[in-house]
Amino acid sequence: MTFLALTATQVAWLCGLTLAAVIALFFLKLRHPRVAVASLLLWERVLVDNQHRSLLERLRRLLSLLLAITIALLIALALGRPEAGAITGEPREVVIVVDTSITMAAATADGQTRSDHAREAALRLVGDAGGADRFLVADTSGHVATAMTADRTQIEAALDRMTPTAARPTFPQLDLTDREVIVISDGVARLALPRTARALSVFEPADNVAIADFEVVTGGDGGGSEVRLVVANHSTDAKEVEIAIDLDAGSDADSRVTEVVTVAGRDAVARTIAIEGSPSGAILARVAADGDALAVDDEAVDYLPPPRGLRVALVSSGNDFLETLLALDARVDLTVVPPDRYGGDEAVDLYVFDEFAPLVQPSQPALLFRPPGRAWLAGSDAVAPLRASETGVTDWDEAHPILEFVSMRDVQIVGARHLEFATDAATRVVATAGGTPLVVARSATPRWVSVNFALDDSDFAMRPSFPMFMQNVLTWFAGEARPLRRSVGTIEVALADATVATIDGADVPARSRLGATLFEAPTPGLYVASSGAAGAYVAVNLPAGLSDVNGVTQTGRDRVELPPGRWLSSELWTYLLALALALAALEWWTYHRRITV
Amino acid sequence: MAGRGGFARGRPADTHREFVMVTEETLFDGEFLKKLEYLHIVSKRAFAGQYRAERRARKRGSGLEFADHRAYAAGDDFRRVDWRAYQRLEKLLLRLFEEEEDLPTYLFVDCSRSMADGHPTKLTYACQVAAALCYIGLAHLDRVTLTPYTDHLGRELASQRGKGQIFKVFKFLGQLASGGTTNAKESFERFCRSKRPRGVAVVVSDFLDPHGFEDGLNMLRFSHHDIFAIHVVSQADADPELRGDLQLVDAETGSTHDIAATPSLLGAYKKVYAEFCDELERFCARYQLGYVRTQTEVPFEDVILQVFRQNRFLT
Repeated sequence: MTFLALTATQVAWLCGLTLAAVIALFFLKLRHPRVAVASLLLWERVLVDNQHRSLLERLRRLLSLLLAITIALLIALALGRPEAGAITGEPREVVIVVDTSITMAAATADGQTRSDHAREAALRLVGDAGGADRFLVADTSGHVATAMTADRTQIEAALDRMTPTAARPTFPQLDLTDREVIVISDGVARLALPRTARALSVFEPADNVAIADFEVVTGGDGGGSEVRLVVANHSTDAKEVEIAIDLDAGSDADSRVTEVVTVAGRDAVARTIAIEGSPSGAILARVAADGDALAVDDEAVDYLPPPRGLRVALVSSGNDFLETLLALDARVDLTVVPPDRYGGDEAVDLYVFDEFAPLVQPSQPALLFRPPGRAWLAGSDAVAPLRASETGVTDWDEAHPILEFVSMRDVQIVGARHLEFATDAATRVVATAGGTPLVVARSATPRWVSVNFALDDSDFAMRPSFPMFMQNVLTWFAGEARPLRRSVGTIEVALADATVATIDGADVPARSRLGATLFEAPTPGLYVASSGAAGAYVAVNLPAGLSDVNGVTQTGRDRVELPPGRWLSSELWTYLLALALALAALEWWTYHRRITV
Repeated sequence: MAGRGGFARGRPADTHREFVMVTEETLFDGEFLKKLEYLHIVSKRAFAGQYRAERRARKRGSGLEFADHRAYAAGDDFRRVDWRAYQRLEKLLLRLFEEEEDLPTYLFVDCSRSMADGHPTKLTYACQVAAALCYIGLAHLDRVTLTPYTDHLGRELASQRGKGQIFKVFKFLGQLASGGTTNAKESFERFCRSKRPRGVAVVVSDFLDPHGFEDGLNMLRFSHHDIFAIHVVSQADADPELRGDLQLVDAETGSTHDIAATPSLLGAYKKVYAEFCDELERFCARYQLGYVRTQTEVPFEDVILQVFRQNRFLT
């Protein structure tokens, strides 16, 4: 027998002292109430007769003493929280990790969800375990719900709080030394399970269609907007999926576009749906199919800023890439100005300078390609051009608005000016491995972006990212609120001390950190972050691939059972206290019937 | 000296002392006294009295009741010659009349500490009974001697005659206090040694004598007194209301005993007490002693007017 609350020595001392105290108190001659009687003559006759009546009566006081000692020792032992492997089984420490990935929200045939089954399985494990076994409950969102405890109520409460989330599941960081690990999952989430972990599967095949990708773009064919979405069918059978695009999700207006597609089992279909007119604002896509077991992936949202025309002056001696690209943009009213004709007073919204920079900064935003050194750029062209070996792009700021959805990976640059810019005036957006800036942006009004290499000296203009880069730069210059597209989970917005609300106006708790604002977006939706005059729309959608409810990656079909306690299901001390209470009641009952006195 | 305590005020300090408040006003009203005057203490035998009174005496005398004839002898009073008998028998016969004398009545009141028990106390009750018996005796010109006792004889109220002495009785009884242990044998032995005229000896006691009640009563019996035992019983003696763990203290000796007053123990005690009462009653019956048992809870008027008459102690 071992003790959890005290050492064996302490328990021995406690029992010894208790024993001594009980015996001392028992034999301590407590003065009874004195009652005068006329004579003890007759009483003595009675007492002499009574004392010799039976062996039991002579043992009564001894019986009472034994009861008192037993009760006291039971309480003393209970204080030590004893464990007896022969009775309650060897105590174990078990870590139960409940998968709370989004696929656990899939409905099952009995009307419950996989998450409900996981909770029941966890409770069954705990209920069947021995009384001395202790459990730690955690989920795959990185949240440890309980400390190691034997308190079944606490464990049950923790399991009740667990709900599937759309965040990417991860196995919690825990000390698993000498602990049994049981993961209750549907086996879909890719979890880095420890080698000793045993998986208990609650998987049950389910039908599910989902929006795997969703985007609303402008400047498509014909200059209009179009919706691009991917509908995935995670079911084994083909599904007829109804797609509904709500073009004005923020209002009550009925502007829906619907389409029905058939998606084969375990397949996905990409659809591009042209949108007539000039929609703007929140745009919501929904898919629906029979027997869909998971609802959270049936919706996706995006935001389209209000359209606005831009007057652009391209100051260039001739650049086909730029002229063609800008001319194709429906919202751009392009004017090409030779450098020698540049006056700085053109009626434009922004300038694009190609290997040219005016001596005085224009009052409008400017995009410059390989500009010469100018004082307002805080740079100098006195430095020799970079060699090809020095222009490898290794670092770019993906969070910057001009690089959204722009990949600079493997962009080949054969030469660039090595311009140094004052770091307090501009932000280095793209740089070489040596830290030499390749793209620099200045946020202060008027904004400018300097691309330190010429389009002719790189393959950037021929890459798919280039049109996106140009779109981003023009949008950034125009001050349009392009939506940030993020996945569910913790969202970071590059706005200091911003307040966050849903598109319906409900406040979302947010916190500031290092000049940015963080908030939790557990479900897909459109959020609005505002900080003073600045603001940003954040379109939060489910990451692709998270909702494959049948994509079992782990076997996880073991039938895990903890061997129950041999006799008792609760801790031994509870039985000791119950026995002490019962004996106390017995003592009270027998005392009042003068059996033990 | 606890063993020598009791009897009267002014004795050495006794923590168990209880004074008996027996007064004419508190005990007897006029109507009750009238009823008492019609009662007589019954003696199974005739005893020689000292004074003329209303009791038939053993000797012949000048009473009104004819007793016998005897032959005339010289010097006899001619007035007592039965001339009618002379006419028939031609013999001078003298008419003899019964002598009516007083009855020596000895009232022994147990004043031991055990008599302080009960509500009212047994001593109070005993004094009330004794006062009533005294009045009855005094009213019929009997010589009444009142003697308290514990383990020795107390100062007695010497022979009194006539109703007018009742106030002395009240005063005497009013000064009695309980205390000391009981030793009837020792007390009555001293009484018998004092060569008192034989008469009615009334013992009013609870008879809880550590030395046994038999020896004390035997002392009186051997002295040829006509004995009446008035057994005063309290509810506390017969059916004690005890509960739980207690230390019983003997009121007389101060000895203690721890008990757990269980229903079974109390039942056993009641059984023993009943056996004790039966034992006393059987003893009295065997030796033709008068025996009356009375509870302190019973009004003593009822005891005097009904119980004593039913037991042929009074007529």
